[in-house]
Amino acid sequence: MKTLPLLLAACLAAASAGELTGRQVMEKVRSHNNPHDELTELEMRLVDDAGRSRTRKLRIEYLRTDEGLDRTLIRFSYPRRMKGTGLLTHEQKGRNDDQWLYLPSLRRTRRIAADAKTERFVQSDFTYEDLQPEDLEDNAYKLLRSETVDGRPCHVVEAVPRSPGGYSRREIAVDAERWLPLRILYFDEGGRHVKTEHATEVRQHEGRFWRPDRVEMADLEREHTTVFLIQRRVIDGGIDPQHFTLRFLATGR
Amino acid sequence: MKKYVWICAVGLCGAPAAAAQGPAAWFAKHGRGKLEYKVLWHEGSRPQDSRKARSEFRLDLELDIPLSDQARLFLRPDVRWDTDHLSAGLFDESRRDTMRRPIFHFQEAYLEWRPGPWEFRLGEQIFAWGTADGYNPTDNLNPRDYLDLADSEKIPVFALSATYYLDEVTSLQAVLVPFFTPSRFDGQDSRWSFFPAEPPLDFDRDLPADSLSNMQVGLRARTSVRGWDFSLSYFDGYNDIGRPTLTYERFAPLGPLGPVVLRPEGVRFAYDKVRTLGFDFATTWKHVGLHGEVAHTWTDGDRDDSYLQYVLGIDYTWADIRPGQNLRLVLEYAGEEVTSRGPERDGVPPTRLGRYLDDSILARIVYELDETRKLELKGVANLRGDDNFYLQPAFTWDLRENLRLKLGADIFTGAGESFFGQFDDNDRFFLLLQYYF
Repeated sequence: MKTLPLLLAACLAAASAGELTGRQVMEKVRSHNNPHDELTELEMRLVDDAGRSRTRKLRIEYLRTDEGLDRTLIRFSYPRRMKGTGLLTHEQKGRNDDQWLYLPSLRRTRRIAADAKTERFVQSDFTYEDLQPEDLEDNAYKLLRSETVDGRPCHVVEAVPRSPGGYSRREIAVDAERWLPLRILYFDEGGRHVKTEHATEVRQHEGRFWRPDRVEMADLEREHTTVFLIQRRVIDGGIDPQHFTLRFLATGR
Repeated sequence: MKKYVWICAVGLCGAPAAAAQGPAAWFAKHGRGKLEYKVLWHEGSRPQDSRKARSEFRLDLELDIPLSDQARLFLRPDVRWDTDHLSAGLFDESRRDTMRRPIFHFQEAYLEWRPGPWEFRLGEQIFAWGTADGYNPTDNLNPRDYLDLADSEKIPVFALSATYYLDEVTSLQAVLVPFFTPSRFDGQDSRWSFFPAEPPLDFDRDLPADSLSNMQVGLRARTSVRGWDFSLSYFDGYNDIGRPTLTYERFAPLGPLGPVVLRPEGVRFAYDKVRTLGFDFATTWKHVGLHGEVAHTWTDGDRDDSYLQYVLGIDYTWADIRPGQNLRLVLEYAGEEVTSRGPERDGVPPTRLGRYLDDSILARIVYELDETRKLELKGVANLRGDDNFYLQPAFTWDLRENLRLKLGADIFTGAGESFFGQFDDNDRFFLLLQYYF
């Protein structure tokens, strides 16, 4: 009897999948996860192949402007030598995003190359490309199959970038009811599976946004893992647009 | 001493908040600090100083004390002591007249008020203008401490700064510096001296008087347009390095009935009025960062050269050259062109501080082995005249989250009269231990 609900869910997912393309699945992901602003405070743990762990604490603020462009501010609070370091990104249409890095020890704000997508984010297993919001125009999507991930029925979508990036393709397992990616497999230029991203401890915010409280990225090649542990999340709480200025990046005010 | 009393009085306004939260929680939120221990071993000695080892201790705190929604007091007390007596005295009451660092002072101490798009700061401040990495000809508001040439740092100035923020990326800033502070370097008594050990000389300085007419002013406008950051700056003030001239005394080597000759008695530094117009930019192209600065300095009264200084640089990162390992390169070219030659100097060579990059390549290479260790090589190559070089190879290891170890060397080489070659005997190894809290 217990298998009946699961079977029903799988059938629903299959039936649903039969009606949806890969692109449509990703459009639903975007429409269900499209806040105006979002604040996330998290702890990032870097675990090497010997099990040694390093911790970073950061705060991520996100805002979608009236023009539909993304603004992101990342501020580090731990370790203490990184306290105050900030990274501000202004999405641009038709050209590279603007990105500035503030280093408190130098009292300087530096423009950096936002096009360096394959570079790792503060030596973690996430690259800047991994952390950017999904841009549906940058990829070709194809629905591969249905699959159960962590007990959740999922659509598995293949994403192939339209221009060269860090990966030849990704397999994104999207929760068929919550429209949240639960697992992403990353494949390199040679088609080898090199990284796995896994979202767990999923909770609902503001009655409609599903978000994981834990995201783990495992780099299979260098046997290294990065874990994001979300400490606090506020969605559509009203972040002041002034937080996404060069003034705020340098002064925090 | 009085200014420290008012600083503490204002700072106490934040005491109730600290008491309510508990000092530890308050400091975790509003403060941070760094404790340093550095040991240096010199390979050789110079006539001025044969000591080969030096130890330094330093405590550097930052306290961000909110006073209201729009105001705060920012303090950066700094305590340092070393075995070479580069630091002396408890407070910097007479820092304008001393060639030693104070053991205790405030690196920064200012009141800030932020009504709307305005930001006002009053107090001891350090400014950082310019976009380049190793050399900033547009960054002229702060003098520098050159008591250890390889470890030079900015000296704070008492200033009123007003900034108006027009939009996300555009700002206008005006800075008034009412009291002149000269750069700090040793005359003859240390291995970093720019003057020979003999004959013994007295050093004196003609500091500009503290008056409204001698106030220094800096103006800067900065913005960002379609992926380009620009700023235009203007400085009206004094050359903080100083122009040295020899002073002489009458001397009768054969006694009172013999001939009288003039012999060097000392060096007097004059601080010429200068005006500097500067421009800098930064942009990126694909994965490459591009930046540059140019500044022209006019010396009033043609007492010294007027000159154009510039620097152009690129930076690039090779990500994951091996899994988890990155290589970063910053490469710059710096030059200078004299546009108006000043009068010949009276037998005293200039220190060349502030003007030693006149056909030079600056580089910084960082190889990140993993998230805790990196190798770094930075250097300067002066190519005009006799080639001379400075190199600093270093290995940095984050032993713990907040404990960092740095091992390295400072290497000077070149012809004896060249800027870096004169310090050829100052090559050294160093160990730096830093604890952040």
